Amino acid sequence: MTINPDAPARRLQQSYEIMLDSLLDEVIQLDDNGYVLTWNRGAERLKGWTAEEAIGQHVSAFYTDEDVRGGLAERELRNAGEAGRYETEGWRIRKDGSRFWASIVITAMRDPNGELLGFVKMSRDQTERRAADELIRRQRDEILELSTPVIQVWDRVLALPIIGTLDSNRAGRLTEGLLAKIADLEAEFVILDISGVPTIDTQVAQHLLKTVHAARLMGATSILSGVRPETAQAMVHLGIELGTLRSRNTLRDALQLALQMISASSNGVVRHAEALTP
Amino acid sequence: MSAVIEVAIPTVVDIATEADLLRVRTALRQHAVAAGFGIVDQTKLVTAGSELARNVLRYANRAAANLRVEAVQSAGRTGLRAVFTDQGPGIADLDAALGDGFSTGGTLGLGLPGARRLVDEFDINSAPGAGTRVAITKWKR
Amino acid sequence: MNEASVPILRIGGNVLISLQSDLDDTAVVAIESAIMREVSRSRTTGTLIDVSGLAMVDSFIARVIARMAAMTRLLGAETVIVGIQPAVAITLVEMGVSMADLHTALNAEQGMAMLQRLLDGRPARAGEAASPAMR
Repeated sequence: MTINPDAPARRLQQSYEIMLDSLLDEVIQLDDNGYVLTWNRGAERLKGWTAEEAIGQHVSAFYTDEDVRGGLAERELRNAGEAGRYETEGWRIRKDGSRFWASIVITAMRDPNGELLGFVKMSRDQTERRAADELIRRQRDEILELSTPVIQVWDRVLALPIIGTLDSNRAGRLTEGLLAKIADLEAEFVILDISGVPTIDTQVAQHLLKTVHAARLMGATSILSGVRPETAQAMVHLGIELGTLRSRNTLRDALQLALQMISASSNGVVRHAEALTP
Repeated sequence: MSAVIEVAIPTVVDIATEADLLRVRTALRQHAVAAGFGIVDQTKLVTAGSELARNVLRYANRAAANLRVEAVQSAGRTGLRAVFTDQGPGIADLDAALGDGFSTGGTLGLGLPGARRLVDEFDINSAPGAGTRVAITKWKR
Repeated sequence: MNEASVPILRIGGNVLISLQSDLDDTAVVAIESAIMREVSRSRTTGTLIDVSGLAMVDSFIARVIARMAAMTRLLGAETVIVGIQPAVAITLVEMGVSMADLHTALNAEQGMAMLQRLLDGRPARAGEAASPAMR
């Protein structure tokens, strides 16, 4: 749309308003205290308030109760005032009280002397995109779960190859899955393979030890496998104590140990070899 | 055709006798199920509640005490809050009580540190002569 | 609940007791005396405490269980706790309740096999009362 610079100011203003209204997004103007000065059709579509209803209201009317209590609107305007432009995302409220996830840009408007005149606020409804993002994240988690299934490698012996980082949420889910399988298959040994875990720090070790402890309460003995010499070194440096938890370099060695323990304890022959030393 | 009777899950449970411990656990379990908590989170909430309810019975010296359960919401999350209030003698040294290994009743501590580890938020207000209020919150994952 | 109404099952030289969820102080006393009496009255070498009916185990119940195991040991019998539910196991660990010096098994069958191993003096598996360091 071309604008003739010689056109009268009134026509220019009209063109500007038509353009604003044609935008799908909300574009509104606030005074320097955050009160609504202008309201375009996108804003009405997004938030439900008409221009007559919205003009004169404070912008915090569109924020959630918790955010109003926390003074979020004032903070965002202050940030925009200081930086000139402020981008953020968050929950906002429509006229009917429903929530939506908004993507927002606030731009500070100043006169030639640098005096703050007010703000221009642009908002876009990102609820669907956010829901899609969450769905993707959940699916990714599930795929990660599928890629670390609990495998039965022998009668009464399970293996859980852990691949990727281990935060408390993931550790919790893995433990739940493992314990369910222990109950299902009446397993007595669990091999936790950590060769796929990039770093073993104190927190990861704690998660592992919790899993081991919970498995023991259900009668299953755990063996750690995939412990490389560097990993073992790092763990010693961090002061991570494994106690009586046995560990082996490979899953195969761990399975061999499990089978040895099964046979040693079932045929009555006293064998101290593997019993007490890690 | 028999009438359908809707039994409301109690949101306030008086804690005065041992029999009330079962009512506390049942109420917490029912609320957790209704709130859509998984079995592990249900169990953690019920266990934490059981610890706190036993404390009330053991230390509140028969003073008025109850559990109040409410649904809570914040920043798009939903959850449950269980508030244990009693008009008992209060805890003199909160810091010690919240540390592991503390004990005055000849038992292994008040169970507060353990209960705290099972929930997302743990708020305690207590002072000698002012009673005790413990609020635990668990968010739905 | 009185001593006579505590359900104790005798299986050979072993004794099985199932704990129900409403364990108040009177019930605990009744169960403990019933166990002591049963374990000492005949040659009992092992006890199984079945907690599969417990949807929750708090520190009080954990102490009760530990006390029962200690009592039977004084009478010369080993005790294995069986049937800890997954959610309960996770919660106990999260709380920091150790139960480290107690034997645990998945169910009565595994529990009895464990009692037999303990009786024969066979080498312990790590599952038997020797848990990894938790601190």
